[in-house]
Amino acid sequence: MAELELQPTPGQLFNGQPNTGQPGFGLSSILEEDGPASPPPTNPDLFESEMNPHLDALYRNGLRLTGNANDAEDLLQDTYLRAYRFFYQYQPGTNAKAWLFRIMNTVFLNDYRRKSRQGETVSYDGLEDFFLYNRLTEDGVTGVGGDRSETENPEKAVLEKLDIETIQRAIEALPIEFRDTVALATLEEMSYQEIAETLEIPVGTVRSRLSRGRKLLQRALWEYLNGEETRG
Amino acid sequence: MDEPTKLDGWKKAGECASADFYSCEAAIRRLNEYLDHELTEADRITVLKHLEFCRPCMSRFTFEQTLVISIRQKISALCVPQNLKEKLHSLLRHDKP
Ligand SMILES: [Zn+2]
Repeated sequence: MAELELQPTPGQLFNGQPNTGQPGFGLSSILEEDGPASPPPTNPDLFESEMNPHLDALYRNGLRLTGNANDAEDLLQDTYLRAYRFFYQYQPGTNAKAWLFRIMNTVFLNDYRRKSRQGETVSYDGLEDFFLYNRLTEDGVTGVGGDRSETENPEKAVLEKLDIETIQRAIEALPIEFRDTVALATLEEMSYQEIAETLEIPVGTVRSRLSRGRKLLQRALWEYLNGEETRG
Repeated sequence: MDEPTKLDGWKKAGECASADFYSCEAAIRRLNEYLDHELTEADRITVLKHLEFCRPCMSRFTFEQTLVISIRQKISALCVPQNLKEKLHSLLRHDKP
């Protein structure tokens, strides 16, 4: 398990952006202090009732960050205990999910960054709206939607073949700047405002990353559905 | 009293409904926000009006919506292992900073 005490580095980067430690964000102290000498006691039952509804989503975020189950479990545990220790800083009624995700991203960047994986290098050529839909409805298409009857119901054809592993691999193949935004909106159903809070980016950036990121995701899904040999 | 102008008989600005919903491009521009429930009510209605009479867009939007929902459902099966849940539960009750 990773060491719990975090040592901040000056000019620490968060998501490629300088961490400005803006007031209201409330995470800088989580990294800069070990906590107060005698922190207010946290009621574990209260903590669990606030945080546990988001644990599965948080775990999936850990899987995407680390790329393997062992590290994801360690990262989740580190994040959870750190959130518990600093729970007195959490404002009840504010967004618990975004708060937890920010802690995880911060812990990850501090302790796990060496293991961080970059998305594959992707080309932006041929990025179109409705990438999958167009492939599946093209005349004479071969591969996933090749059957004529399937082209009349393209979603059925492709959705039956999408499994968790394919989805995870396609998400992980996205360039890092798109991966989080696409995952949080598409998989975790976060609002744009929640995503902006979680990733510390403007809502407009959320929109533009989603716009391009979802197209990239569809192309990646298409490539994985049709096997690696069609990549390139 | 009659004040004829060149615009006589035309509706004044602001009285006309926007024709935005005739355009596929305007609907498609709002695709993500439509899927993510981020549209204002007015914009959502614009999209829905377009989908009502544009079969290609209806088909595309339905596909996109089904795709997102399906991906979300499948991925939600990926959850915290039971033994880790139990470990976290007990750590809270023994972990003293
Ligand atoms: Zn249309």
